[in-house]
Amino acid sequence: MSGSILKLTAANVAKDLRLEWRSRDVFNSMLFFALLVVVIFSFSFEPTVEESRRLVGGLFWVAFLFSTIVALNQSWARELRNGVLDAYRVAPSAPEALFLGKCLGNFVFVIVLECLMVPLFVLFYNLSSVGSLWQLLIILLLGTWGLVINGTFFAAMSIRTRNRELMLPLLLLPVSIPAVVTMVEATKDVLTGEASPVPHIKFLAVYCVVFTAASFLLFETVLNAE
Amino acid sequence: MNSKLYFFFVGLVLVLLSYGTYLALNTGVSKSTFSFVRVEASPSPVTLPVASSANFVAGEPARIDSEESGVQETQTIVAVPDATHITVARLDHAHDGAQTSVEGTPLGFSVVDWTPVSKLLNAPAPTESTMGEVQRIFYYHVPAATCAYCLFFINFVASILYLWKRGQKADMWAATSAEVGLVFATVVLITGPIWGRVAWNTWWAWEPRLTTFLILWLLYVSYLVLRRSAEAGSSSVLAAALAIFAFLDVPFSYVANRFGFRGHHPPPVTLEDPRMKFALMANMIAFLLFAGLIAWFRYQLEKTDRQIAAIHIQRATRGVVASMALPAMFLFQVRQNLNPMNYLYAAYIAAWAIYIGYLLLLMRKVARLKREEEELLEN
Repeated sequence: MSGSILKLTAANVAKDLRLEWRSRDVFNSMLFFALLVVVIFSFSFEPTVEESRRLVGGLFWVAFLFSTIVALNQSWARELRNGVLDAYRVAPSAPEALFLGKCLGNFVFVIVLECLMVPLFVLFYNLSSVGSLWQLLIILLLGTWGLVINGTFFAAMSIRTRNRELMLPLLLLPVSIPAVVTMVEATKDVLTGEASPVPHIKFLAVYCVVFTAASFLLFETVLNAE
Repeated sequence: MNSKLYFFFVGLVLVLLSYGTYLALNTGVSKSTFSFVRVEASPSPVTLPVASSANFVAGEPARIDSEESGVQETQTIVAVPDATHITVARLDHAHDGAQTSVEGTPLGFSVVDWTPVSKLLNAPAPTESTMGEVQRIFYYHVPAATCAYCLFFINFVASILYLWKRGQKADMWAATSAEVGLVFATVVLITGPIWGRVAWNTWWAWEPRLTTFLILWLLYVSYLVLRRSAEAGSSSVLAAALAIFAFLDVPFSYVANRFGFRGHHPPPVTLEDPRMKFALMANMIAFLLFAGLIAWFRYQLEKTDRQIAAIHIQRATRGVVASMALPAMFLFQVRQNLNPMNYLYAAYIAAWAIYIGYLLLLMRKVARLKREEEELLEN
């Protein structure tokens, strides 16, 4: 059975990636959006090297939070066309596989976006890190997973509402505030080297575990809500 | 519930509310003074040299409290010989008021009048010594917060029950408790800054408890928005799932904010005086019953008509935004001799404006439901 869930998940991820590879509409809009945020922040603050170490954690995560929302709005809306979501509902496959597939797909999009944007941040804000880079990598992975897991869940919820695109940030942002605050603090701690980011990383790990569990438990209910 | 019992309950809540407000607002004279002399324990009457013995009366109990060493005792005043001395019946401990702190300031010990339990029923809360009159907002602020937490907890339990058993009752309770809880949370968020402006000299501090509460408020606003805008039929299930997420989020937001805003901890309020504790308890009971009454009333309304969308919170929030936008000029003024009494009354009035405003909205709903019922009967 677990083999079949893994297979289904892999099929879902492969389908999402292939769709995205052919159209590139989500990724392009995300990339352009993030780029605009970076440029606009850079214009409005013009920070020095010292200041930018403090600021950039916040800018970085706010930029990704918003561009993640752009991607998430598309990820389920795509399934509404031709009644694909209804087909999933009646299909005898595990809904968890569908959810995990969506999460992994979104995770890949956002991670690729971050890999492209990090050099830009370094360039625009003259960044250099005092702390160690591998910690930054862990924060990046955990933080992105935290955003994507909640985001995918609430996107599935918001497509059931009348004003879909508007509803997602309203639902996602309040729940994500603790995670965002911690990501920003952890990034700042690594960049400035003033404090250890380890407690923040532990917090993020717990956050990811708890909300991943909650999303998996409740996804089937939300998918079949009538 | 029959209507006689109902009116009795409403009356009881109103009496309790006015009694609590009387205890909280009526300025009890706080007699408090300091001594900077070392006194030894003694079984016979001891005369304490104090800064001022004004308002102290022989025969009443007083608490002698060395804050540094934590030694406290309550003794009866037997005589007030002159303006700078108080005589107590005996002393069980030595109090070293002559000690000096590391900075060189004398520590002293305090002598405060102390109301015995038997006289608490008619003992208004005294003025708090460090924060002054404005601390009285506490008696409205804390019960409102407790009510909000209780109602949000009911919301969580009802949501789980709904997902489990899919009963309409659980769903109605979830909707009701979130809405009423949000009204109480709004009161907390309005009275808090009014208090903070005088006590901490700032409207808002990014402090864990405040920030957690703000996030909680946002979560339940989004909960009610979701309830309103979800497709018909799915809204209860989606809202229940969101309620579980919201509840899980609270401990995280508390911990995250402790990371985020180090070193912004305003001093917590500890109620030492039994009169303060009593006033708080009276208000706590009154407001919990009040919250129960509103929630029950709201539940009946929800039951009467599940079809009409709950527009109340939207309206209430709009009203709150407007009432906050109006005195915006006043918000930005520089601190200069703030009169704490103005802030105290502002907080009490704001709290009642929100409660009464919400009740009026419910009344409007009752009127509309009645009208619709009549129209239905005519046809």
